[in-house]
Amino acid sequence: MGDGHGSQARMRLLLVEDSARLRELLIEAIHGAGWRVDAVATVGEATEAVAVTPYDLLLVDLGLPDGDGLDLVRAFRRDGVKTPILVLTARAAIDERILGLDAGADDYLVKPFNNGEFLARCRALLRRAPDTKTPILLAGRLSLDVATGAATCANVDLGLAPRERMVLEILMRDAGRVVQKRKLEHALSEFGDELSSNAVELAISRLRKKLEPHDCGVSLETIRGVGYLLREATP
Amino acid sequence: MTKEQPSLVTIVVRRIIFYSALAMLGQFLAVVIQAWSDDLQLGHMAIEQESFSLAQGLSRVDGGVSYSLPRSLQARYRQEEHDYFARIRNRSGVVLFSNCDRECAERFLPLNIDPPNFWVRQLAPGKPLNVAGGLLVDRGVEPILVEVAILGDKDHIVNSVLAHEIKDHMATPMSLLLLVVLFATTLSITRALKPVAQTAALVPSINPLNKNARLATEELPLEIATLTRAINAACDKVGELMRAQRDFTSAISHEVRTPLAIAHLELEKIADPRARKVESDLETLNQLVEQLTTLARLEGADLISMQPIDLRHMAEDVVSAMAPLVYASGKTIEFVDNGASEFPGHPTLIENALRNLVDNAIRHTGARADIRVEVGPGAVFCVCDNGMNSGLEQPNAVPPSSPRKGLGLKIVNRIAEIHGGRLTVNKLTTGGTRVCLAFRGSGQLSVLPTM
Repeated sequence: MGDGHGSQARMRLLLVEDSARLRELLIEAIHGAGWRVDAVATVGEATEAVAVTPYDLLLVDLGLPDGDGLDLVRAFRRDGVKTPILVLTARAAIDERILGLDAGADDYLVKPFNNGEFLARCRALLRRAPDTKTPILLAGRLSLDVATGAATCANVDLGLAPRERMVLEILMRDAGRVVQKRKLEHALSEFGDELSSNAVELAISRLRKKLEPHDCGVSLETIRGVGYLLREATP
Repeated sequence: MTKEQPSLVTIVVRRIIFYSALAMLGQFLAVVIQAWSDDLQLGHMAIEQESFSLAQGLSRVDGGVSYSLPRSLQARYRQEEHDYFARIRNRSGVVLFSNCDRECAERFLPLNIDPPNFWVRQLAPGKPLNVAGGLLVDRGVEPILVEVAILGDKDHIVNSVLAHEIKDHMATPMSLLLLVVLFATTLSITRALKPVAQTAALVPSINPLNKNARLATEELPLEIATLTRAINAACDKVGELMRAQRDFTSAISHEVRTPLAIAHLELEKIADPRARKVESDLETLNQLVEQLTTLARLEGADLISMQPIDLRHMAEDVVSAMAPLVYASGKTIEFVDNGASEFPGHPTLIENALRNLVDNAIRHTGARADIRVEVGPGAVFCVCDNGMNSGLEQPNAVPPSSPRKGLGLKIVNRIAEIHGGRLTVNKLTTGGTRVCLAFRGSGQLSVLPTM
């Protein structure tokens, strides 16, 4: 997933990180994913950059030399910046994570992390943005054109029914995360028909059957009692 | 407070009684000494008391007055050899009663003299008492003069006189005063200490980290207000310490985690298998840092303010958040709600405990293990696995040379203690492990064995 090809290739990210070495390593990882990145080390530089450049994703460290990254996130949201924000931080406590999300961050990645985890979070945020420029969602070799509804696996059309397509879109937007069953139920209820008690299970089952014959590089897991998880298969 | 500790009211009441007893003793001695040293005064009191006693025998009969010696005095005034003489007469000199001979009568006023209301005469100085006197008593018909002569006082009338004096002029009024003082003091102390009790009840609910959450000092008596201000100052200091500890652990965490992140990203570029081993060691180090900082934060956390916990919702979120990690490690996870109920607690701590147990299950089970998170019935959650266990972290089974092992469960155990709950670890016959955390109100505290 997220090899950098396709519509995410021209994504532009802003990295706000005061550690020079970590900044270099993250820039390297971002370039490796095929994205462009501007990197700054302070709150002041970040504010200036966001004011003049439209970014697709902001990566913000919390411990910055001229201020707290949380205040920066709050200021962005207060100023109407809707760009997804991924907080990178050493503050691991649950209440600190809650603080970060309450401030307006979309996700929270605790140091230390590896490249794969970092890029997966970035991709997830780029996908989840409802006004994302890309109409094509990617996961492994699975591709879904949101505009046309065409779902392909390794360029083979999967021939999905509308409900299956809807479920797949939600799962792909949240790839790598658990999608709760009630969210899928809510989405399916928008089709207007009366929703049977096992409508979600039925749609998932059909979707699995259509994915199975192909090597899509993803697996669709059932988290019993909670929901479903679409994740990249381990290479 | 222990039973040995008396209340302030008890202490004050005891002291008032003690000092009152001392005062009464002093007063008693003063009365006795004063009366004993003044024979005429003592004689005056003796004549007066004896006259009143004799006057009890007066009664009205057909418009006149008759006299009969009271039974209690018969032994004293009817003996042949006696030292007590009495004569009861009216103003006209008509004698109603007398045990006097001629010699004795000379000690009284002549019968033809109109008597004064009271008279007394010392017949001989010193003790025993030798005194004569009379008291004019009016029983409604005509004034009657009761005359008494005491020669030697073999019956020790003087003791009775002193006893009456002490009772009438000291014991009775001082006892009444003591009762009033005790009542007023008890009432005053109880009322004065009411704000103290109210303040004491509020102290456990103060959150030291919230500078605005302090005890009110307005409308309190000066001394209690001073104590309350001292408590507030102590809370401020505790709050500062808690903040300092939190900042310190946060700083330590930050200083360690950023280099760890750099090391992780650097190592990923190295293909050598030894780099994977170092990555694994780094992960272990990171886990240790996280557990140590969590433990430190637990002691500095705001443990006062509890909130209702929706355990089902919380566990669902934790399972959702950790499922990617579980599946990435080749295992599975599921969630079962057996009817969890709401209970008061610290949400971040409870979530921390649950995450710790799931993390424990991920780390210490073998490949392809199945993990199940159960909540309910009631305020209880359990994390179970089906075996393939590679050595679940258990404090009792931890080799002493391994300081890291046991920290995760120590954190969970501490969180359980904070909530008055209980942590249990049970090996299942299937080879798996079931770790449960039961909170107050779960109804399972008494049946779960202590860890």
